[in-house]
Amino acid sequence: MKHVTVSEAYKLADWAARIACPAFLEYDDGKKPCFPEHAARLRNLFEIKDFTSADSAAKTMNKEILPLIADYRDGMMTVPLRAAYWLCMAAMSIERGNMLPTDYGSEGIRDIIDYMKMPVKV
Amino acid sequence: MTVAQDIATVSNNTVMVHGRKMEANSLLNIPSVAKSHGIKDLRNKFHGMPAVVAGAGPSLDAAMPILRAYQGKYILIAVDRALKPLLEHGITPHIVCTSDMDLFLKNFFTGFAIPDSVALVYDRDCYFGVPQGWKGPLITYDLYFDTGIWSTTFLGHRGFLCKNFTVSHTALYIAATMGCENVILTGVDFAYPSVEKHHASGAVENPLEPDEKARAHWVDIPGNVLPIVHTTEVFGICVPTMGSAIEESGVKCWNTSPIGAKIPQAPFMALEDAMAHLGRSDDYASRIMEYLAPPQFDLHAFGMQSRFVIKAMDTLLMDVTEGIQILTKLKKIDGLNNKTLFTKWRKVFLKSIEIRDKVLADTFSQHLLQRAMLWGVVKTKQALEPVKDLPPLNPKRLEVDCKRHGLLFWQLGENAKLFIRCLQMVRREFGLAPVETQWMNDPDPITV
Repeated sequence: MKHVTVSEAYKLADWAARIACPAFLEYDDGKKPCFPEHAARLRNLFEIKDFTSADSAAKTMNKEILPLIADYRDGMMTVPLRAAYWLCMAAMSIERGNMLPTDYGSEGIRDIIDYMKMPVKV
Repeated sequence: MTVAQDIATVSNNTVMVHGRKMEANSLLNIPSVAKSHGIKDLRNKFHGMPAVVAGAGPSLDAAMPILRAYQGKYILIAVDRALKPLLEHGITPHIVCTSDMDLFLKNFFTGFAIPDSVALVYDRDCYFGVPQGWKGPLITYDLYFDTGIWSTTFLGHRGFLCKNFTVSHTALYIAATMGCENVILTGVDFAYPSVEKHHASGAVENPLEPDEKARAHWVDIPGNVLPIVHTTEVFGICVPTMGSAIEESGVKCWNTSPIGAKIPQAPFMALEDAMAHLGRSDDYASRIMEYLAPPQFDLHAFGMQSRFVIKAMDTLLMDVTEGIQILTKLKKIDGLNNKTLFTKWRKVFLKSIEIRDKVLADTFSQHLLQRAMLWGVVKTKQALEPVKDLPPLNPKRLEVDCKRHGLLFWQLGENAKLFIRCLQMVRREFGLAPVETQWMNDPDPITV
Protein backbone atom coordinates (compact mmCIF):
# COMPACT_ATOMS: atom_id res chain seq x y z
CA MET A 1 0.00 0.00 0.00
CA LYS A 2 1.24 3.45 -0.91
CA HIS A 3 2.34 5.71 1.92
CA VAL A 4 2.78 9.42 1.41
CA THR A 5 4.61 12.16 3.28
CA VAL A 6 2.91 15.40 4.42
CA SER A 7 4.24 17.44 1.49
CA GLU A 8 3.31 14.70 -1.01
CA ALA A 9 -0.17 14.59 0.48
CA TYR A 10 -0.63 18.36 0.01
CA LYS A 11 0.71 18.10 -3.54
CA LEU A 12 -1.81 15.35 -4.36
CA ALA A 13 -4.65 17.37 -2.84
CA ASP A 14 -3.57 20.41 -4.85
CA TRP A 15 -3.52 18.45 -8.10
CA ALA A 16 -6.92 16.94 -7.39
CA ALA A 17 -8.65 20.14 -6.29
CA ARG A 18 -7.17 22.71 -8.66
CA ILE A 19 -6.43 20.67 -11.80
CA ALA A 20 -8.47 17.47 -12.02
CA CYS A 21 -11.73 18.70 -10.48
CA PRO A 22 -12.08 21.84 -12.65
CA ALA A 23 -11.53 19.63 -15.68
CA PHE A 24 -14.40 17.40 -14.56
CA LEU A 25 -16.67 20.32 -13.88
CA GLU A 26 -15.99 21.82 -17.29
CA TYR A 27 -16.09 18.51 -19.12
CA ASP A 28 -18.35 18.92 -22.08
CA ASP A 29 -18.44 16.57 -25.00
CA GLY A 30 -21.63 18.08 -26.27
CA LYS A 31 -23.73 15.66 -24.23
CA LYS A 32 -22.94 16.27 -20.57
CA PRO A 33 -23.82 19.52 -18.84
CA CYS A 34 -20.90 21.37 -17.32
CA PHE A 35 -20.30 23.75 -14.42
CA PRO A 36 -17.79 26.37 -15.64
CA GLU A 37 -18.44 28.78 -12.76
CA HIS A 38 -17.57 26.11 -10.16
CA ALA A 39 -14.52 25.09 -12.18
CA ALA A 40 -13.28 28.68 -12.17
CA ARG A 41 -13.88 28.85 -8.41
CA LEU A 42 -11.62 25.84 -7.83
CA ARG A 43 -8.93 27.06 -10.21
CA ASN A 44 -8.77 30.34 -8.30
CA LEU A 45 -8.10 28.63 -4.98
CA PHE A 46 -4.78 29.35 -3.30
CA GLU A 47 -2.17 26.67 -3.89
CA ILE A 48 -2.70 23.84 -1.40
CA LYS A 49 0.58 23.52 0.43
CA ASP A 50 -0.25 23.73 4.11
CA PHE A 51 -2.98 23.15 6.67
CA THR A 52 -4.69 26.53 6.13
CA SER A 53 -4.91 26.35 2.34
CA ALA A 54 -6.09 22.71 2.47
CA ASP A 55 -8.71 23.59 5.05
CA SER A 56 -9.98 26.49 2.96
CA ALA A 57 -10.14 24.32 -0.21
CA ALA A 58 -11.94 21.52 1.67
CA LYS A 59 -14.51 23.99 3.01
CA THR A 60 -15.09 25.50 -0.44
CA MET A 61 -15.62 22.08 -1.96
CA ASN A 62 -17.74 20.65 0.82
CA LYS A 63 -19.94 23.63 1.62
CA GLU A 64 -20.15 25.62 -1.58
CA ILE A 65 -19.69 23.30 -4.54
CA LEU A 66 -20.62 19.74 -3.58
CA PRO A 67 -24.15 20.54 -2.35
CA LEU A 68 -24.98 22.29 -5.62
CA ILE A 69 -24.07 19.34 -7.79
CA ALA A 70 -24.61 16.57 -5.25
CA ASP A 71 -25.80 13.26 -6.62
CA TYR A 72 -25.50 14.48 -10.15
CA ARG A 73 -25.73 11.35 -12.34
CA ASP A 74 -25.28 9.23 -9.25
CA GLY A 75 -21.75 10.30 -8.72
CA MET A 76 -20.24 10.82 -12.16
CA MET A 77 -19.56 14.47 -11.32
CA THR A 78 -19.32 14.24 -7.56
CA VAL A 79 -16.81 11.37 -7.34
CA PRO A 80 -13.69 13.41 -8.14
CA LEU A 81 -14.85 16.24 -5.87
CA ARG A 82 -15.43 13.91 -2.96
CA ALA A 83 -12.08 12.28 -3.57
CA ALA A 84 -10.34 15.68 -3.74
CA TYR A 85 -12.10 16.72 -0.55
CA TRP A 86 -10.85 13.57 1.18
CA LEU A 87 -7.32 14.18 -0.08
CA CYS A 88 -7.37 17.60 1.62
CA MET A 89 -8.76 16.06 4.80
CA ALA A 90 -6.17 13.28 4.72
CA ALA A 91 -3.30 15.71 4.17
CA MET A 92 -4.44 17.75 7.17
CA SER A 93 -4.82 14.61 9.27
CA ILE A 94 -1.38 13.37 8.30
CA GLU A 95 0.06 16.72 9.41
CA ARG A 96 -1.81 16.41 12.70
CA GLY A 97 -0.33 12.94 13.05
CA ASN A 98 -3.60 11.24 13.83
CA MET A 99 -4.31 9.44 10.58
CA LEU A 100 -2.42 6.73 8.79
CA PRO A 101 -0.46 8.15 5.87
CA THR A 102 -2.07 6.28 3.03
CA ASP A 103 -3.37 7.35 -0.32
CA TYR A 104 -6.90 8.73 -0.04
CA GLY A 105 -8.73 9.04 -3.30
CA SER A 106 -6.01 10.00 -5.77
CA GLU A 107 -6.17 6.60 -7.48
CA GLY A 108 -9.93 7.07 -7.56
CA ILE A 109 -9.61 10.32 -9.49
CA ARG A 110 -7.15 8.77 -11.90
CA ASP A 111 -9.53 5.87 -12.40
CA ILE A 112 -12.50 8.04 -13.27
CA ILE A 113 -10.33 10.04 -15.67
CA ASP A 114 -9.65 6.74 -17.46
CA TYR A 115 -13.32 5.78 -17.29
CA MET A 116 -14.54 9.03 -18.76
CA LYS A 117 -11.61 9.12 -21.21
CA MET A 118 -10.87 12.68 -20.13
CA PRO A 119 -7.96 14.73 -21.43
CA VAL A 120 -6.46 15.46 -17.98
CA LYS A 121 -2.71 15.18 -17.57
CA VAL A 122 -2.04 12.88 -14.62
CA MET B 1 -38.90 17.69 -13.50
CA THR B 2 -36.04 16.82 -15.83
CA VAL B 3 -34.66 13.29 -16.12
CA ALA B 4 -31.52 14.38 -14.23
CA GLN B 5 -33.70 15.72 -11.40
CA ASP B 6 -35.73 12.48 -11.36
CA ILE B 7 -32.51 10.48 -11.06
CA ALA B 8 -31.22 12.70 -8.26
CA THR B 9 -34.51 12.42 -6.36
CA VAL B 10 -34.72 8.63 -6.63
CA SER B 11 -31.04 8.33 -5.73
CA ASN B 12 -31.45 10.53 -2.65
CA ASN B 13 -34.60 8.70 -1.57
CA THR B 14 -32.84 5.35 -1.87
CA VAL B 15 -30.03 6.53 0.38
CA MET B 16 -32.48 8.09 2.80
CA VAL B 17 -34.52 4.91 3.18
CA HIS B 18 -31.73 2.33 2.90
CA GLY B 19 -28.63 4.36 3.93
CA ARG B 20 -28.06 2.54 7.21
CA LYS B 21 -28.53 -0.85 5.61
CA MET B 22 -26.19 0.11 2.77
CA GLU B 23 -23.56 1.28 5.23
CA ALA B 24 -23.76 -1.95 7.26
CA ASN B 25 -23.40 -4.00 4.08
CA SER B 26 -20.48 -1.93 2.83
CA LEU B 27 -18.65 -2.61 6.12
CA LEU B 28 -19.58 -6.28 6.34
CA ASN B 29 -18.55 -6.74 2.71
CA ILE B 30 -14.93 -5.78 3.50
CA PRO B 31 -13.76 -9.45 3.77
CA SER B 32 -15.39 -10.22 0.40
CA VAL B 33 -13.91 -7.12 -1.23
CA ALA B 34 -10.51 -8.16 0.11
CA LYS B 35 -10.65 -11.28 -2.07
CA SER B 36 -12.42 -9.66 -5.03
CA HIS B 37 -10.94 -8.55 -8.32
CA GLY B 38 -11.58 -5.08 -9.69
CA ILE B 39 -13.77 -4.10 -12.61
CA LYS B 40 -10.79 -2.05 -13.86
CA ASP B 41 -9.05 -5.33 -14.77
CA LEU B 42 -11.64 -5.85 -17.49
CA ARG B 43 -11.75 -2.25 -18.72
CA ASN B 44 -11.60 -2.08 -22.55
CA LYS B 45 -10.33 -5.68 -22.73
CA PHE B 46 -13.20 -6.84 -24.94
CA HIS B 47 -13.08 -4.11 -27.51
CA GLY B 48 -15.47 -4.69 -30.38
CA MET B 49 -16.98 -7.85 -28.86
CA PRO B 50 -20.74 -8.38 -28.59
CA ALA B 51 -22.44 -8.56 -25.19
CA VAL B 52 -25.93 -9.63 -24.25
CA VAL B 53 -27.53 -8.03 -21.21
CA ALA B 54 -30.17 -10.46 -19.94
CA GLY B 55 -32.83 -8.93 -17.73
CA ALA B 56 -35.50 -11.01 -16.02
CA GLY B 57 -38.47 -9.53 -17.87
CA PRO B 58 -41.23 -11.73 -19.34
CA SER B 59 -39.70 -11.59 -22.85
CA LEU B 60 -36.71 -13.63 -21.63
CA ASP B 61 -38.81 -16.83 -21.93
CA ALA B 62 -39.06 -16.52 -25.71
CA ALA B 63 -35.37 -15.56 -25.99
CA MET B 64 -34.05 -18.69 -24.24
CA PRO B 65 -33.82 -21.06 -27.26
CA ILE B 66 -31.98 -18.44 -29.31
CA LEU B 67 -29.59 -17.56 -26.48
CA ARG B 68 -28.84 -21.25 -26.11
CA ALA B 69 -28.30 -21.84 -29.81
CA TYR B 70 -25.78 -19.00 -30.05
CA GLN B 71 -23.95 -19.66 -26.76
CA GLY B 72 -20.24 -18.85 -27.01
CA LYS B 73 -20.80 -16.13 -29.61
CA TYR B 74 -21.36 -13.34 -27.10
CA ILE B 75 -20.51 -12.28 -23.55
CA LEU B 76 -23.57 -12.92 -21.43
CA ILE B 77 -24.10 -10.49 -18.56
CA ALA B 78 -27.16 -11.49 -16.54
CA VAL B 79 -28.95 -9.55 -13.84
CA ASP B 80 -29.36 -11.34 -10.49
CA ARG B 81 -32.97 -12.42 -10.99
CA ALA B 82 -32.32 -13.82 -14.48
CA LEU B 83 -29.63 -16.25 -13.27
CA LYS B 84 -31.98 -19.03 -12.19
CA PRO B 85 -34.14 -19.12 -15.36
CA LEU B 86 -31.03 -18.97 -17.57
CA LEU B 87 -29.35 -21.88 -15.77
CA GLU B 88 -32.58 -23.88 -15.92
CA HIS B 89 -32.45 -23.56 -19.70
CA GLY B 90 -28.81 -24.69 -19.82
CA ILE B 91 -27.42 -21.20 -20.47
CA THR B 92 -24.45 -20.23 -18.29
CA PRO B 93 -23.81 -16.50 -18.03
CA HIS B 94 -20.23 -15.26 -17.92
CA ILE B 95 -21.08 -12.52 -15.46
CA VAL B 96 -24.01 -11.99 -13.13
CA CYS B 97 -24.44 -8.63 -11.46
CA THR B 98 -26.28 -7.65 -8.33
CA SER B 99 -26.74 -4.59 -6.15
CA ASP B 100 -29.73 -4.89 -3.78
CA MET B 101 -29.09 -4.46 -0.09
CA ASP B 102 -31.93 -6.58 1.30
CA LEU B 103 -31.71 -10.02 2.86
CA PHE B 104 -34.18 -11.14 0.19
CA LEU B 105 -31.38 -10.90 -2.39
CA LYS B 106 -30.02 -14.20 -1.12
CA ASN B 107 -33.08 -15.98 -2.59
CA PHE B 108 -31.91 -15.13 -6.10
CA PHE B 109 -28.84 -17.30 -5.56
CA THR B 110 -30.01 -20.20 -3.41
CA GLY B 111 -31.83 -23.45 -4.14
CA PHE B 112 -29.99 -24.22 -7.37
CA ALA B 113 -26.43 -25.06 -8.43
CA ILE B 114 -24.35 -22.17 -9.79
CA PRO B 115 -21.35 -23.20 -11.92
CA ASP B 116 -17.99 -22.04 -10.55
CA SER B 117 -17.19 -20.26 -13.81
CA VAL B 118 -19.85 -17.58 -13.28
CA ALA B 119 -18.28 -14.33 -12.07
CA LEU B 120 -20.29 -12.18 -9.68
CA VAL B 121 -20.01 -8.41 -10.14
CA TYR B 122 -21.43 -6.99 -6.96
CA ASP B 123 -22.01 -3.60 -5.49
CA ARG B 124 -20.36 -3.07 -2.10
CA ASP B 125 -23.73 -2.12 -0.67
CA CYS B 126 -25.33 -5.42 -1.70
CA TYR B 127 -26.42 -7.90 0.95
CA PHE B 128 -23.15 -9.20 2.37
CA GLY B 129 -24.26 -12.86 2.44
CA VAL B 130 -24.27 -13.07 -1.36
CA PRO B 131 -20.57 -12.41 -2.14
CA GLN B 132 -19.64 -14.20 1.10
CA GLY B 133 -21.06 -17.50 -0.15
CA TRP B 134 -20.06 -17.12 -3.81
CA LYS B 135 -17.86 -19.92 -5.18
CA GLY B 136 -16.82 -18.39 -8.52
CA PRO B 137 -14.72 -15.28 -9.14
CA LEU B 138 -15.81 -12.11 -7.36
CA ILE B 139 -15.51 -8.72 -9.03
CA THR B 140 -16.42 -5.38 -7.49
CA TYR B 141 -15.97 -1.66 -8.00
CA ASP B 142 -15.20 1.33 -5.83
CA LEU B 143 -17.77 2.96 -3.63
CA TYR B 144 -17.57 6.72 -3.59
CA PHE B 145 -19.36 7.47 -0.38
CA ASP B 146 -17.03 8.50 2.39
CA THR B 147 -16.77 5.05 3.98
CA GLY B 148 -15.85 3.66 0.59
CA ILE B 149 -13.14 6.27 0.08
CA TRP B 150 -11.81 5.58 3.57
CA SER B 151 -11.68 1.83 2.93
CA THR B 152 -9.60 2.28 -0.23
CA THR B 153 -6.65 2.86 2.09
CA PHE B 154 -6.52 -0.86 2.83
CA LEU B 155 -8.57 -2.34 -0.01
CA GLY B 156 -6.88 -0.47 -2.86
CA HIS B 157 -8.83 0.61 -5.91
CA ARG B 158 -11.10 -1.72 -7.83
CA GLY B 159 -12.18 0.75 -10.50
CA PHE B 160 -15.02 3.17 -11.11
CA LEU B 161 -18.35 2.02 -12.46
CA CYS B 162 -21.23 4.39 -12.95
CA LYS B 163 -24.29 2.94 -11.26
CA ASN B 164 -27.80 4.16 -11.13
CA PHE B 165 -31.33 2.88 -11.09
CA THR B 166 -31.80 -0.79 -11.94
CA VAL B 167 -29.43 -3.70 -12.05
CA SER B 168 -29.96 -3.74 -15.85
CA HIS B 169 -28.35 -0.30 -15.96
CA THR B 170 -25.39 -1.72 -14.02
CA ALA B 171 -25.15 -4.63 -16.49
CA LEU B 172 -25.10 -2.16 -19.38
CA TYR B 173 -22.34 -0.12 -17.71
CA ILE B 174 -20.33 -3.32 -17.17
CA ALA B 175 -20.61 -4.16 -20.88
CA ALA B 176 -19.55 -0.61 -21.78
CA THR B 177 -16.63 -0.69 -19.33
CA MET B 178 -15.44 -3.97 -20.84
CA GLY B 179 -15.32 -2.19 -24.20
CA CYS B 180 -18.09 -4.22 -25.85
CA GLU B 181 -19.17 -2.46 -29.00
CA ASN B 182 -22.58 -3.99 -29.57
CA VAL B 183 -24.86 -4.55 -26.63
CA ILE B 184 -28.00 -6.61 -27.15
CA LEU B 185 -30.72 -6.16 -24.56
CA THR B 186 -32.95 -9.14 -23.94
CA GLY B 187 -35.49 -9.51 -21.16
CA VAL B 188 -35.00 -5.81 -20.38
CA ASP B 189 -38.67 -4.99 -20.86
CA PHE B 190 -39.52 -2.22 -18.38
CA ALA B 191 -43.12 -3.12 -19.30
CA TYR B 192 -45.51 -5.95 -18.64
CA PRO B 193 -47.87 -7.86 -20.90
CA SER B 194 -50.17 -8.33 -17.91
CA VAL B 195 -50.43 -6.85 -14.44
CA GLU B 196 -49.72 -10.28 -12.96
CA LYS B 197 -46.74 -11.49 -14.99
CA HIS B 198 -43.68 -9.41 -14.20
CA HIS B 199 -40.82 -11.82 -14.72
CA ALA B 200 -39.52 -14.65 -16.86
CA SER B 201 -40.79 -18.10 -15.85
CA GLY B 202 -38.76 -19.55 -13.00
CA ALA B 203 -37.51 -16.17 -11.72
CA VAL B 204 -37.65 -15.77 -7.94
CA GLU B 205 -40.56 -13.62 -6.79
CA ASN B 206 -40.25 -11.18 -3.91
CA PRO B 207 -42.99 -11.88 -1.32
CA LEU B 208 -43.77 -8.14 -1.26
CA GLU B 209 -44.42 -8.01 -4.98
CA PRO B 210 -48.18 -8.78 -4.98
CA ASP B 211 -48.64 -5.82 -2.67
CA GLU B 212 -46.40 -3.62 -4.81
CA LYS B 213 -48.34 -4.63 -7.93
CA ALA B 214 -51.61 -3.68 -6.26
CA ARG B 215 -50.27 -0.30 -5.10
CA ALA B 216 -48.35 0.60 -8.27
CA HIS B 217 -49.50 3.48 -10.39
CA TRP B 218 -49.82 2.07 -13.91
CA VAL B 219 -49.08 4.13 -17.00
CA ASP B 220 -49.09 3.61 -20.78
CA ILE B 221 -45.86 4.32 -22.65
CA PRO B 222 -44.66 3.68 -26.24
CA GLY B 223 -43.66 0.07 -26.92
CA ASN B 224 -40.59 -1.29 -28.70
CA VAL B 225 -42.76 -3.15 -31.23
CA LEU B 226 -46.27 -2.65 -29.90
CA PRO B 227 -47.68 0.87 -30.15
CA ILE B 228 -48.42 1.11 -26.41
CA VAL B 229 -47.31 -0.98 -23.42
CA HIS B 230 -48.31 -0.92 -19.74
CA THR B 231 -45.84 -0.32 -16.98
CA THR B 232 -45.53 1.09 -13.49
CA GLU B 233 -44.57 4.72 -12.95
CA VAL B 234 -41.18 3.74 -11.50
CA PHE B 235 -40.27 1.62 -14.53
CA GLY B 236 -41.62 4.42 -16.71
CA ILE B 237 -38.76 6.58 -15.31
CA CYS B 238 -36.25 3.76 -15.89
CA VAL B 239 -36.84 3.88 -19.65
CA PRO B 240 -35.42 7.38 -20.36
CA THR B 241 -32.61 6.79 -17.85
CA MET B 242 -31.61 3.65 -19.76
CA GLY B 243 -31.56 5.82 -22.89
CA SER B 244 -29.23 8.31 -21.16
CA ALA B 245 -27.03 5.46 -19.92
CA ILE B 246 -26.66 4.11 -23.48
CA GLU B 247 -25.88 7.56 -24.83
CA GLU B 248 -23.42 8.30 -22.06
CA SER B 249 -21.58 5.00 -22.30
CA GLY B 250 -21.23 5.35 -26.08
CA VAL B 251 -22.18 1.75 -26.96
CA LYS B 252 -24.34 0.61 -29.85
CA CYS B 253 -27.36 -0.97 -28.31
CA TRP B 254 -30.22 -3.06 -29.66
CA ASN B 255 -33.42 -3.82 -27.82
CA THR B 256 -34.75 -7.21 -28.85
CA SER B 257 -37.84 -7.27 -26.65
CA PRO B 258 -41.06 -7.63 -28.67
CA ILE B 259 -43.26 -6.81 -25.69
CA GLY B 260 -41.10 -4.26 -23.88
CA ALA B 261 -41.00 -0.48 -23.72
CA LYS B 262 -39.25 1.59 -26.37
CA ILE B 263 -35.85 2.51 -24.97
CA PRO B 264 -34.31 5.65 -26.51
CA GLN B 265 -31.00 5.01 -28.35
CA ALA B 266 -31.79 1.27 -28.60
CA PRO B 267 -33.55 0.44 -31.88
CA PHE B 268 -35.41 -2.83 -32.26
CA MET B 269 -33.71 -5.83 -33.81
CA ALA B 270 -35.06 -9.39 -33.58
CA LEU B 271 -32.82 -11.42 -31.25
CA GLU B 272 -32.04 -14.07 -33.88
CA ASP B 273 -30.98 -11.42 -36.42
CA ALA B 274 -28.87 -9.66 -33.80
CA MET B 275 -27.11 -12.90 -32.91
CA ALA B 276 -26.53 -13.86 -36.54
CA HIS B 277 -25.14 -10.44 -37.49
CA LEU B 278 -23.26 -9.42 -34.35
CA GLY B 279 -22.20 -12.70 -32.71
CA ARG B 280 -18.46 -13.52 -32.62
CA SER B 281 -17.11 -16.82 -31.34
CA ASP B 282 -14.49 -16.64 -28.61
CA ASP B 283 -13.64 -18.30 -25.31
CA TYR B 284 -15.00 -15.42 -23.26
CA ALA B 285 -15.00 -17.22 -19.90
CA SER B 286 -11.26 -18.02 -20.10
CA ARG B 287 -10.44 -14.51 -21.30
CA ILE B 288 -12.27 -12.95 -18.36
CA MET B 289 -10.31 -15.12 -15.95
CA GLU B 290 -7.06 -14.34 -17.74
CA TYR B 291 -7.46 -10.57 -17.32
CA LEU B 292 -8.36 -10.58 -13.63
CA ALA B 293 -5.39 -9.39 -11.56
CA PRO B 294 -4.86 -10.73 -8.01
CA PRO B 295 -6.96 -8.86 -5.42
CA GLN B 296 -5.26 -6.13 -3.35
CA PHE B 297 -5.60 -6.03 0.41
CA ASP B 298 -3.41 -4.68 3.19
CA LEU B 299 -4.32 -6.49 6.42
CA HIS B 300 -1.91 -4.44 8.52
CA ALA B 301 -3.43 -1.16 7.27
CA PHE B 302 -6.92 -2.54 7.90
CA GLY B 303 -5.96 -3.45 11.45
CA MET B 304 -4.65 0.06 12.15
CA GLN B 305 -7.42 1.93 10.31
CA SER B 306 -10.27 -0.07 11.80
CA ARG B 307 -8.81 0.43 15.29
CA PHE B 308 -8.69 4.18 14.62
CA VAL B 309 -12.32 4.25 13.44
CA ILE B 310 -13.61 2.05 16.29
CA LYS B 311 -11.88 4.30 18.84
CA ALA B 312 -13.25 7.45 17.16
CA MET B 313 -16.78 5.99 17.10
CA ASP B 314 -16.48 4.88 20.71
CA THR B 315 -15.52 8.41 21.83
CA LEU B 316 -18.42 9.81 19.81
CA LEU B 317 -20.79 7.30 21.36
CA MET B 318 -19.76 8.30 24.87
CA ASP B 319 -20.24 11.99 24.03
CA VAL B 320 -23.73 11.51 22.61
CA THR B 321 -24.68 9.31 25.55
CA GLU B 322 -23.79 12.23 27.81
CA GLY B 323 -25.82 14.53 25.54
CA ILE B 324 -28.86 12.31 25.81
CA GLN B 325 -28.50 12.17 29.62
CA ILE B 326 -28.54 15.99 29.69
CA LEU B 327 -31.63 16.12 27.50
CA THR B 328 -33.35 13.55 29.75
CA LYS B 329 -32.51 15.76 32.74
CA LEU B 330 -34.00 18.75 30.92
CA LYS B 331 -37.18 16.84 30.33
CA LYS B 332 -37.37 16.10 34.06
CA ILE B 333 -36.84 19.77 35.01
CA ASP B 334 -39.54 20.82 32.56
CA GLY B 335 -38.58 24.49 33.06
CA LEU B 336 -39.81 25.87 29.75
CA ASN B 337 -43.05 27.19 31.18
CA ASN B 338 -41.66 28.04 34.61
CA LYS B 339 -39.83 31.38 34.92
CA THR B 340 -37.96 30.34 38.11
CA LEU B 341 -36.66 27.14 36.59
CA PHE B 342 -36.03 28.57 33.15
CA THR B 343 -32.60 30.05 34.05
CA LYS B 344 -31.42 26.66 35.32
CA TRP B 345 -33.01 24.94 32.34
CA ARG B 346 -31.20 27.25 29.91
CA LYS B 347 -27.80 26.56 31.50
CA VAL B 348 -28.31 22.84 31.13
CA PHE B 349 -29.53 23.33 27.55
CA LEU B 350 -26.30 25.19 26.72
CA LYS B 351 -24.35 22.14 27.87
CA SER B 352 -26.19 20.02 25.30
CA ILE B 353 -25.23 22.58 22.64
CA GLU B 354 -21.59 22.30 23.73
CA ILE B 355 -21.75 18.55 23.27
CA ARG B 356 -23.45 18.96 19.91
CA ASP B 357 -20.68 21.28 18.72
CA LYS B 358 -18.05 18.92 20.07
CA VAL B 359 -19.39 15.89 18.19
CA LEU B 360 -19.94 17.87 15.00
CA ALA B 361 -16.33 19.08 15.15
CA ASP B 362 -15.17 15.48 14.65
CA THR B 363 -15.44 15.77 10.88
CA PHE B 364 -13.81 12.40 10.23
CA SER B 365 -16.55 10.50 12.07
CA GLN B 366 -19.26 12.82 10.75
CA HIS B 367 -18.29 12.10 7.17
CA LEU B 368 -18.18 8.36 7.72
CA LEU B 369 -21.62 8.48 9.29
CA GLN B 370 -23.31 10.85 6.90
CA ARG B 371 -24.87 8.27 4.57
CA ALA B 372 -26.38 6.26 7.41
CA MET B 373 -27.50 9.54 8.98
CA LEU B 374 -29.31 10.99 5.96
CA TRP B 375 -32.74 10.00 7.26
CA GLY B 376 -32.01 11.70 10.61
CA VAL B 377 -30.64 14.84 8.95
CA VAL B 378 -33.78 15.20 6.85
CA LYS B 379 -36.00 14.63 9.90
CA THR B 380 -34.16 17.23 12.00
CA LYS B 381 -34.43 19.75 9.15
CA GLN B 382 -38.14 19.04 8.78
CA ALA B 383 -38.67 19.47 12.54
CA LEU B 384 -37.15 22.97 12.41
CA GLU B 385 -39.36 24.12 9.55
CA PRO B 386 -42.46 25.23 11.57
CA VAL B 387 -40.40 27.26 14.10
CA LYS B 388 -37.50 28.51 11.99
CA ASP B 389 -38.71 32.15 12.11
CA LEU B 390 -39.04 32.24 15.91
CA PRO B 391 -36.20 33.81 17.98
CA PRO B 392 -33.69 31.28 19.42
CA LEU B 393 -34.88 31.66 23.02
CA ASN B 394 -38.58 31.29 22.26
CA PRO B 395 -39.91 28.36 24.39
CA LYS B 396 -41.52 26.71 21.37
CA ARG B 397 -38.28 26.85 19.42
CA LEU B 398 -36.27 25.61 22.41
CA GLU B 399 -38.59 22.65 22.75
CA VAL B 400 -38.14 21.78 19.08
CA ASP B 401 -34.37 22.28 19.37
CA CYS B 402 -34.28 19.87 22.29
CA LYS B 403 -36.05 17.24 20.21
CA ARG B 404 -33.73 17.89 17.29
CA HIS B 405 -30.63 17.50 19.44
CA GLY B 406 -32.08 14.32 20.92
CA LEU B 407 -32.71 12.90 17.46
CA LEU B 408 -29.21 13.87 16.31
CA PHE B 409 -27.55 12.30 19.37
CA TRP B 410 -29.61 9.15 19.06
CA GLN B 411 -28.87 8.79 15.33
CA LEU B 412 -25.16 9.42 15.84
CA GLY B 413 -25.03 6.94 18.69
CA GLU B 414 -26.93 4.21 16.87
CA ASN B 415 -24.79 4.58 13.77
CA ALA B 416 -21.56 4.74 15.77
CA LYS B 417 -22.64 1.43 17.36
CA LEU B 418 -23.27 0.04 13.87
CA PHE B 419 -19.72 0.92 12.84
CA ILE B 420 -18.24 -0.57 16.01
CA ARG B 421 -20.27 -3.79 15.70
CA CYS B 422 -19.56 -4.28 11.99
CA LEU B 423 -15.86 -3.48 12.21
CA GLN B 424 -15.37 -5.73 15.25
CA MET B 425 -17.10 -8.54 13.32
CA VAL B 426 -14.85 -7.99 10.32
CA ARG B 427 -11.74 -7.89 12.54
CA ARG B 428 -12.81 -11.21 14.04
CA GLU B 429 -13.20 -12.66 10.55
CA PHE B 430 -9.62 -11.64 9.71
CA GLY B 431 -8.37 -13.15 12.97
CA LEU B 432 -7.55 -9.76 14.54
CA ALA B 433 -8.09 -9.11 18.22
CA PRO B 434 -11.16 -7.01 19.05
CA VAL B 435 -10.50 -3.36 19.92
CA GLU B 436 -11.30 -2.53 23.51
CA THR B 437 -14.03 0.05 23.78
CA GLN B 438 -15.88 1.69 26.63
CA TRP B 439 -19.17 0.77 24.99
CA MET B 440 -18.46 -2.97 25.08
CA ASN B 441 -18.42 -2.81 28.89
CA ASP B 442 -21.87 -1.30 28.91
CA PRO B 443 -23.78 -2.98 26.10
CA ASP B 444 -26.59 -0.50 25.56
CA PRO B 445 -26.22 2.85 27.26
CA ILE B 446 -28.34 4.83 24.82
CA THR B 447 -32.00 5.33 25.54
CA VAL B 448 -34.24 7.98 24.09
